[in-house]
Amino acid sequence: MAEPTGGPLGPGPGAAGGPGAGPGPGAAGGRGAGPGPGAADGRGAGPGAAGGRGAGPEHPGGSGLRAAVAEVWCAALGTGEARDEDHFFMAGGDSVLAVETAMALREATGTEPVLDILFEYPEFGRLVAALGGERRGSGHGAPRALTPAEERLWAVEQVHRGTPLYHVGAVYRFDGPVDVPRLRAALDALAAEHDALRRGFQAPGRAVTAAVVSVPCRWVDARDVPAEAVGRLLDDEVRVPFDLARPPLLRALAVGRGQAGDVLLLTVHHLVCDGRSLALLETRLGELYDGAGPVAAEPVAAAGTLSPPPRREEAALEHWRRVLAGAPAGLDLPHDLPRPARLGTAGGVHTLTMPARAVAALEAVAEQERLSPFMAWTAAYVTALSAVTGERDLVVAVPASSRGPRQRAEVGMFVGILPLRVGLRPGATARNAAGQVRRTVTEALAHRQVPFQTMVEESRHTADPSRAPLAQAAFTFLDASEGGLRLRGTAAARELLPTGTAKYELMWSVTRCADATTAEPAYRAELEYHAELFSPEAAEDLHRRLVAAVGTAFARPDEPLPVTGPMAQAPYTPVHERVRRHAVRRPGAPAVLHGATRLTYRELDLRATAIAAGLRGAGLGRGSVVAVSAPRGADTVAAFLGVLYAGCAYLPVDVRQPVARSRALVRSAAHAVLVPGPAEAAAYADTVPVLRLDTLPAPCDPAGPPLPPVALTPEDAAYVMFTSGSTGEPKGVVVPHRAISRLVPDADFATVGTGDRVAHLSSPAFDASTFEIWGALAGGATLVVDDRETATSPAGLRRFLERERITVLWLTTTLLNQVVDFAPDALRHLRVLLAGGEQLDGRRLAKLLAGSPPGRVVNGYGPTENTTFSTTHDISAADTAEGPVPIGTPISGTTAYALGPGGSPVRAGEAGELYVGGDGLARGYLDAPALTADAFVPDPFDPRGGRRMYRTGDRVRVLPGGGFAFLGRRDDQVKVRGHRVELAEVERAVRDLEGVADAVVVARPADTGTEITACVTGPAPGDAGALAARLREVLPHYMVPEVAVLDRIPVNANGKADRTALLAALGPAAAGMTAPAGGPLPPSPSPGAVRPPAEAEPGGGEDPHDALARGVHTLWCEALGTARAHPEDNFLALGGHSIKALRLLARVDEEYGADIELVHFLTSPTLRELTALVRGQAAGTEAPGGTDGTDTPGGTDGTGGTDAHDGADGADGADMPDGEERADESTG
Amino acid sequence: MSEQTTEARYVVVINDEEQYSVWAAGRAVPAGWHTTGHEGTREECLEHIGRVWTDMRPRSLRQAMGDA
Repeated sequence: MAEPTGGPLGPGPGAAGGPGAGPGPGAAGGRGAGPGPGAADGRGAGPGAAGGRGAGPEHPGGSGLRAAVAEVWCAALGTGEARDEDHFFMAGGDSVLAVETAMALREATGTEPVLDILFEYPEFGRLVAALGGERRGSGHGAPRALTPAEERLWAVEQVHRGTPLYHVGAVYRFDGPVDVPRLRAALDALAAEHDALRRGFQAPGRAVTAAVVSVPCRWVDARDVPAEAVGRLLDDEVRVPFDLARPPLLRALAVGRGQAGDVLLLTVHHLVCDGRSLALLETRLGELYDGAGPVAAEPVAAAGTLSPPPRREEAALEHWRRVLAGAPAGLDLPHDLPRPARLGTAGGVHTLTMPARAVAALEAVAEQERLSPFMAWTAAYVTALSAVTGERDLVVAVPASSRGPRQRAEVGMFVGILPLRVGLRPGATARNAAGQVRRTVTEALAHRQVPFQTMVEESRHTADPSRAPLAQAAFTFLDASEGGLRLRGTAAARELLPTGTAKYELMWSVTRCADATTAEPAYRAELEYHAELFSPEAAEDLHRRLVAAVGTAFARPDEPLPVTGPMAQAPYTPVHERVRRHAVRRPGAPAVLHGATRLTYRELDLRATAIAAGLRGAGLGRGSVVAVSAPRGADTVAAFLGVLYAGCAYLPVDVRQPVARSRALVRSAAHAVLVPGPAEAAAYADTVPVLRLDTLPAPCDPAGPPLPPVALTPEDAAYVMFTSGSTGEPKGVVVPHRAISRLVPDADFATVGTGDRVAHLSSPAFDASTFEIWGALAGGATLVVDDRETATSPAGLRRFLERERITVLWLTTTLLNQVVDFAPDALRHLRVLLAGGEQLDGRRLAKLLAGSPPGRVVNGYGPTENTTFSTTHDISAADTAEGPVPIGTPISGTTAYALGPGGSPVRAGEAGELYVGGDGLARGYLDAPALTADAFVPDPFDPRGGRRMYRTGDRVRVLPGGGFAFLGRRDDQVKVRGHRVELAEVERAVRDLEGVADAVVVARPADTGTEITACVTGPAPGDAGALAARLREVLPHYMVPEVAVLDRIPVNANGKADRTALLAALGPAAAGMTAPAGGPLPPSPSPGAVRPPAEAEPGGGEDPHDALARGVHTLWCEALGTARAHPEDNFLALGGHSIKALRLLARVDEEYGADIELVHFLTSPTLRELTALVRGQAAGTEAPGGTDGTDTPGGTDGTGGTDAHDGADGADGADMPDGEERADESTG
Repeated sequence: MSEQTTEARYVVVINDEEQYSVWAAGRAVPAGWHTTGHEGTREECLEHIGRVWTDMRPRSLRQAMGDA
């Protein structure tokens, strides 16, 4: 195979696949697959063509390079030979051809010439020289700075100490024995030949190459050991950390299996080895094992790339600035676990084989659109991600080689990351996506010289430890026909071991494998996921949906994704007819109790009939709206029933609101108003006809015939209820009879029967009263009224519930919280407790369920526009553990969809806006056609057609079982420093803090954008700063609110927190507030913002006259590119990230000789802490505990490093330990 | 997303109950809905609806009440 003079590699092709048959290491699969000319001329156009071009010769030396360049040159110009003096343009080349040729040169030579290299070097000889470059000595022993690729990984290693994240574990299973002494000798010889295998890495960021190393090579006798045990042995071995300072970062484990054949595991660190390197190592290891003599070590250049002129660097940078401008801060993946404040590295993999049909559909489009396999699969991934997330603007990270010609044959880390940003128009098709991916990939490759880290800096995203910058999803494409080891004629394929880690939230790897049974290749898809975000079940579900989405999208490549979703309906019965039926059947049964007042069903019926007669006498009837301005009580209930008897709709007026407002409401919305007596009547003088309950005719003769009922349809209005609009203008919701019938008494969420006693504590003007009043009366139960004071006093409520033997109770969240806090046993006799109106508090519910719980606790969710409840959920202890308490599933006769931005339903795990409909849907807003048409929109999913649905403005997540979890109001979704924040989510976190009783989070505009503030009450909340510090442990930094500790949360008429009053009380943002003191998140992250003068504090030590403090301040500002800094400034919040931090620490080391660990700094990355750390080291002693951080959460001494994982950095260094080189080759 | 931008185009649609709403222009109108021929921004469409939807009762109700 290798000729002795063939360079360190020899011709690769034979190594893995037999003489002349297989592709060369890393080259062939990629060539066929590449974009650019390779794609344009059809060589790599269709997936089937990939790899078909066969192996090209390798070019370890100048002659190989020359031959390769000559081949491209001749093909481009159509000549038979190329001489040094030949001139490209004189020989017929033009500018288009020049660029195409440059692309072809990249592909054929593995070099990275600028695209107009032929303009600079039009003569063949000069071109070859330019591509070949000069070689220079490697300079053993001399430390050198890290390359960008190394730096990225190194930074991650500093944060995630001891992680196998970047371990590459290659397993080879041989048929026969492995000669271990021979293997040892070969490995040592291999290390002698390759600098990278003798390279170590030292803080704060230096690479040092040792002159001699010995590769650890262990042999284990496992001849009688079960295969599972061997598997565990290999899994353990690949995860053993390397000491990065001590080369080699390569080790071997040979497992003796006797007759079964030996197994070899090579573990190598990605810092010194990429995909192509691994192939190089395999080839050379085989040669050395087989007895090849050592070759004269080819002096190779220190890592670096063929540097294009600076102006090109700038142009490339400009490309990325343009591409990444306004890129989304994160991709909302449908994960089922709550996002931690910082992402670690734990991961898992789900593997499946791509269905042949999906592959065929994809390949067909790829062929038509002339996509390489890499592009086609990238398009598949982007399309599928869009389908499952609803996002139209996606950024996917892909690996790309940063090798220059001099690194062609060098072992090392030469892989960069390119973010591919693909924007899909609404209605875009799979074919559109494919075309866009092709353009995006081509342009990205043409500008690949910009390190990913530079792009991150340019994108100016605020560092968010819970998300990777720029891209959270990644893709790789591999060809499994490559890779393998041949020892003495015995070949073994390479198999990569998972390391239980994940570099991205989601990374999809598609591998083309030879299928022995058919001629067609099979495609294996692996989804690597963050284990802190996805359970294995959710990951599997997601993977299957992604794959299904690929099939769907590409099977009909010219259509947008279709959507479906059917629902049912319930029968109609007018509610007042039900009540009358009870009056006929059980006339003596108690209907309404209110203090001393006691109405049986017959009495109630008579009173209502009298009222109806009075209304009819006044000329009111079907279609009329009658306002009822009376306090909660038997009179009001009878009045409502009487209004319905008359065929009218009632309009409850909140008697606690200002009279002027009530007058305006009645005048604009009602045809008449019912009042208890003369005093109230006066208030409505000069509005509409006033009817007094006290002067209506006496109840009709009990023996006489009942008033003939008015024939009503389900669409007749039953009531009009005003809700406060977000604009401040109240809106009258017109609710038809069918809506009540669908709610009570037989809906599936809670049935109310004759034995029940239903509390009526809600305002009649509040939608919950619909359930209370009509639930009780339509079900033949007893409605028990009490005064509002009862409900607002937990002890009073307990007395009421016990005295009245209440079985069914509705409470608002706020009231429920108070009861759980102060009268936790009050609810124990209830059959059903319904609660809601605001997001329920899981901790309170847990306490309730663990103590003296009612029979059932039901979370009831719904807007007035869909009549009281749209979805409900029976709460169990499991629901209270973490995350929002589910709002559950639609009640009978109800539809509910969570829709993405394009109007398509989102899938399980995803967030969308909730639309509800069905029989509970209101007719609209009274006399407000435009508002109605805006909020009640066509329901495209109901198979009956012509239905509407109401846009709730609530954001929900679809739970795996099909229910929903409430995330927040659409208008509660605010952007804080570019991050989307759900106020409800912040609120939940604040409420979960020990000592906090209640919290409301409000958003306020501030100079710097939106500020969020948590208004907190509680028995022992502690001070605002301490609360903020605790929140920083559980929330991403941008979600950490300012904290204001209040005596109580103001409540509005409906028992909900009064946000308007809170905002008014808080005043303008950042004024008079307690900022999160001592914390890394300043209220205003603007570096130039005016701040109060720094106070000298013990431990912090930023005495402004202190030279050391000034010096550190200067270095800090340099690193962040700001003019000045505040001691509490947070490095990460101000655009710093771990690599900038590394550079800062390196500068600090230079200036002060202070060797500060990155992980240590990131634990509390403020200027104050850094200064303290430097001071501690400068004084020659490590500060006790590492920092003075008495208020620093988590591991403060740097030894508890796991607490200090910085997900952002972990993720921004995210990378693929293997195969990227080939994946990159696939990209051209 | 698209429906929030001022550039997005909508059509005025009406169902068999003669209830009005708006629908993104270019998307297939759901079954049971018909376009009225009016197209514009969301605001323009809503404004139009505000002028023409004078009796907001569903058609079936109007008929049942005998004044359809």
